Amino acid sequence: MFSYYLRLAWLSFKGSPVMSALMVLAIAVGVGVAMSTLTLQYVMSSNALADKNDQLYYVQLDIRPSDNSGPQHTRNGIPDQLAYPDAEALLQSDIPTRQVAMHQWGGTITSPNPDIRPALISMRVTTRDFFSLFDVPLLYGTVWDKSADTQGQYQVVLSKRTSQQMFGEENPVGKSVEINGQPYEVVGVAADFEPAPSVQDLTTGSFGGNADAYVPFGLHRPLSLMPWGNMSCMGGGSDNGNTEGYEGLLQSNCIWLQYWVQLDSPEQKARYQQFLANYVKDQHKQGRFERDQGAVLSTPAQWLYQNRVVGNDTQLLTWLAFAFLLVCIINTIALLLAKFLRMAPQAGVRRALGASRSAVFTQHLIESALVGVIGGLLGIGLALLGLVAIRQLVAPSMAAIVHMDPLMMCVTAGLALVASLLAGVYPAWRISTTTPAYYLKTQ
Amino acid sequence: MFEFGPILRTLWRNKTGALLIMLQTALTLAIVVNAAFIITQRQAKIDRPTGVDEANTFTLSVIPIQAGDKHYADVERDMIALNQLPDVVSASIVNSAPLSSSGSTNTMRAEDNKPGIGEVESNVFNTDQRGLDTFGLKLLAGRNFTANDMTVTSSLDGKTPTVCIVTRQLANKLFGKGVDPIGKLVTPGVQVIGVASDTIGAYPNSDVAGDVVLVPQFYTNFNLRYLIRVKPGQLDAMMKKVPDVLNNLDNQRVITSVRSLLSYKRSAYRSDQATISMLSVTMVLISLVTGLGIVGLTLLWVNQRRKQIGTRRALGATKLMVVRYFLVENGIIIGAGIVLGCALALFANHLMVQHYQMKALEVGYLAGGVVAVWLLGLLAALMPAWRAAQVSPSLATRSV
Repeated sequence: MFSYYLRLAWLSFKGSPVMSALMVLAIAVGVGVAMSTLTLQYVMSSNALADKNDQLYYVQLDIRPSDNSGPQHTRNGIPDQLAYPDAEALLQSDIPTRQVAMHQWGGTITSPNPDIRPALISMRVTTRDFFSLFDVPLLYGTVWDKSADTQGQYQVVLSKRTSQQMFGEENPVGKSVEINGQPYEVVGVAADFEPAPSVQDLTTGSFGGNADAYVPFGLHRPLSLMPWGNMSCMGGGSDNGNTEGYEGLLQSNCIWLQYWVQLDSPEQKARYQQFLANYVKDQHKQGRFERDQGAVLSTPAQWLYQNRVVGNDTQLLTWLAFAFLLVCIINTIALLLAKFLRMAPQAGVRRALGASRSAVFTQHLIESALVGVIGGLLGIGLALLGLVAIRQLVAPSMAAIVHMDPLMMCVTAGLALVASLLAGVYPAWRISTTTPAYYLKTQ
Repeated sequence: MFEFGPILRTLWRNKTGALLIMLQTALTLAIVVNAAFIITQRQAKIDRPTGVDEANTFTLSVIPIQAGDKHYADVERDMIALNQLPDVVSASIVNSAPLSSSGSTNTMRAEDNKPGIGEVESNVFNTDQRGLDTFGLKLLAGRNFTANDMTVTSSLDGKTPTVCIVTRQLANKLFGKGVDPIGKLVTPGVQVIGVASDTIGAYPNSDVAGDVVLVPQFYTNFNLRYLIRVKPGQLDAMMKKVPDVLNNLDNQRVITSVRSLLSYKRSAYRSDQATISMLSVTMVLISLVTGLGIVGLTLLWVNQRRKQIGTRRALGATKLMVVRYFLVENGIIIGAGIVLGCALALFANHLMVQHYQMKALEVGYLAGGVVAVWLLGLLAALMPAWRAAQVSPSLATRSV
């Protein structure tokens, strides 16, 4: 029966090629536009750390002056980074399984091989837990020793790319590179860590927080390290002491560090939250903080939301694209309805010859589905084309990740089918309920 | 004279199709109006004058291979060499590239204001006496920096500059419109010595854009950037030549991020440009789908009623009257769709104002959208209506 209906559908298709082409095109264009914008939103709203979403937490402390001045990057208004004294204090806690204090840095790197030109690289100054907390595998060697997190040790973990740039294919562990003219021992090589969006550090854009090399957190004082990321200094009456120079910066309320903790159980999380609350109260008592609460833990998903990684424009475009798809569906309903009603006499004959209502309904639904399948296939093609165009439009760092994965491909096909069935159900129902006698009379 | 009554009755008997077209028209109007409104706003933002000579200016970063503080004498040596190049109009130091979306801000207020009152978050450029000229800004009042004004310091020393030049826009915000800012003090103890023509500064996408202040300062422990303005037509050549000149002066450094201001501008507005493109494509496609949909449906209606049309013609209706019948019918459907569409457009805009910080829709766009959609509907109905007029009166006499 199915193949018979399919043949009927195909005949009817050929019977009015222009009309059928219009319907197919409407579905295809609607699905194509909707899916290319949805893919864009899907890519931007993906969570690169989703598999550890119930273990990792970003730490925010409310260091703002009481008059609410200071940067407002996040949705909750609480500063998105920590000041150095707070990072040092939090590192003392033994509650988290792992914890990472870090910031962006950059400089020149010089290979011992004089044939290789010095290059500018971006670096991450971080505590050693970075690699285990974010599951970054080491291809060679190890991470620096725990003591390097507090005392300066000139050791470096290179990214795979930098290692290849400086040493070719050989294992560089034990060798030495110069960073800003200072020799560092290469202790390890890490796999390139490029989550998109770069959840671990969203301070300099949602798709750019990745590093070419990693150096120990203990190097601040020996090197007077200045961040290459954002630094904001809070006004207000929080200048404690008049320490000058680099130590003064370290003691100041300037925020420039990101802080992540790993908390494996709800009980551990509760204990850590209590610890943070006490810390903030304590700092308020000492006069460093002007507020006595405002310690927030965010999962990676919450942190992406707090930083508005999916822009207003992307969301707007997605809504618009679906409104557009709706227009296409309505268009197809109207055309199908008109077409089916024109063929009503044939349906009337079939009914009079004994075809059941459901048979007539099925026959017409199959015809709509045929429109959907062809429209959908074309729609997938159009969506892929749309993505090619979108890649030309967006920033290169984002273009690299705007792709339709198998999931989105299935969603597209499904959407096309649902759209065409939606478009076909009503016309098919209308035609199946008409009384055969009416049309027979007019023959 | 007009067949309103019969048309309405016919429509009522076959209302589903008409209702669907009406709904489609309404959605189309709502989408087109809001999309056009967003597009013009974004385009206006992109078209704002930047104030700088963006077509002929580029920047580069200078990163020494050796760590440690930089010497201003080395920078001065580079500056003299660059400014002597025949194709260079002016070269100066900056802490960040204009239009690059990366830079430095500071909270400023007029010194006679109390803290918390009249504070303006401003975009600070550390530059030198050649900065104003390299940016391509005009001095509207006061004087430019001199070499003596330069403050050379580490950011950790806490030494602050004593003078600054503010843009017209920032001067108005700090001191009030029409107030002469020359000689006035802004916190912390910096005297305004000049007013410059307006520029967007480093952050084209931020509220800070336009609130720009130049200070004659060199931080010995900060990243160093050179801003170079060249003669028209020389940009590409000089972007290749200048790094070589600098390398010849001192090769113990990495010259990097050689980029034109135009390329920074393109990056800064890339997402706006992308939004404009995607909205424009959507507008064209939706007009096509709706237009073709109306053509298709009206054609079907015409075909369904060939016999009636023939009868009407046989009874004396002119071709024009047949065309008019279909156009009026179409007008009624589209008109109803437009009424619904206006409400829908305003509702969608209301949602966008609430959730996406958009502006309230201007009535002009609604009016323009209404005209455009009406024209679209009319045009789409013309061809089928003309086909209907070609139906021969003899059709009525043929046996059924």
